[in-house]
Amino acid sequence: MANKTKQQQRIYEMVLMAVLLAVALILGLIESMIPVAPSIPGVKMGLGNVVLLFALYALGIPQALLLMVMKVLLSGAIFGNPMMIAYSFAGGALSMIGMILLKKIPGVSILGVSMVGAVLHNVGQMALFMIIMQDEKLFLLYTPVLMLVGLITGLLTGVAARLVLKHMKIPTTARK
Amino acid sequence: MKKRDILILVAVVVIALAMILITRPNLIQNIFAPSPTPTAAPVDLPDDTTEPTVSPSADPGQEPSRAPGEEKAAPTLPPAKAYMKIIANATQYPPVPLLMEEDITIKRDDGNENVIHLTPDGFHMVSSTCADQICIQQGEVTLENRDMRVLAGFVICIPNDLQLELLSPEEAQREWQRWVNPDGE
Repeated sequence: MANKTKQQQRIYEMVLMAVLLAVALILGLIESMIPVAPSIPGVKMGLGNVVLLFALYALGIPQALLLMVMKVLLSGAIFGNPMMIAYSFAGGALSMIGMILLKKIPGVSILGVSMVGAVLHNVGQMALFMIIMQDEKLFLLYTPVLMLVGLITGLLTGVAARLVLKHMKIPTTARK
Repeated sequence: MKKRDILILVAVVVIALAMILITRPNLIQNIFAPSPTPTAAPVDLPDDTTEPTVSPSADPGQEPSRAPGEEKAAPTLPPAKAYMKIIANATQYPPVPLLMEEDITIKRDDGNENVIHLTPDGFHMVSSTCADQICIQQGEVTLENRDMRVLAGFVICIPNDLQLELLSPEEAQREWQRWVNPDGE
């Protein structure tokens, strides 16, 4: 009986991951249709982070990492181009590592983790831009603006993720 | 929102503000006491009214075709109030003096093009074939408003891989030295 429960648990988790991935992709599509900041290039609401935060807090680190990689690959394949995959991955990887590390620090709530995640996502993308273009001027000029924007979007996605975590109870395998 | 969260927030804000103030030296002055920058010496405008097109396949080693004097000795940068530096397809081009009011078109190999309106004070993007049109919304850049803009002296069109930067005469001179004297840095 114990094995069956474990197997059921794994199937449940797999289906949940698939649903989360689909939600993340749809959120990415929706947020690309809403113009957030008129004259500032590269500003997104980062709604996908709500899904990643949920996975990180409710399911665990490996699941969140897997979700991030799958989201980057699939949204790049469906909506974008190889360059976009590279930039998304740069931002997503840096953001995910930061969020994982920060979550381990006691006293930091999901809001702090989310803010750092959003900021690092933007910084990671700008860093790749700087490396590719061999141009540090635009990086130095523009990254602080993106950092401030990231604080705001991170705060909002953190609040949203906190709400989802509070009201959506799932059997969890995550370590506290 | 816990205490450590607020600590993180403040830390990021401080770092961001520090970066902003360091890279925009005139920002503080302009906020508290906006003053017009001193105008440069009057420039003799040539009466050439053709519309030059800059094609990205141009050899970046050449001087801009409007620069007077092609002596071997030491080509000089024509005097102007402001200059524009073009980076297209990750290739840098020598700074262009803004001598007169005109429109230039930069065409890419895949058919996309950007039209930029130049004035002696600065420039802005008039039209572009890109999907998001953010480059046009960035508005005009001049030496006066440069530090107040989000992108400072840049007007960029990411989909068409185009960066335009407004340079002051001193910055343009430094940039020019790197073209004229690439080894003697």
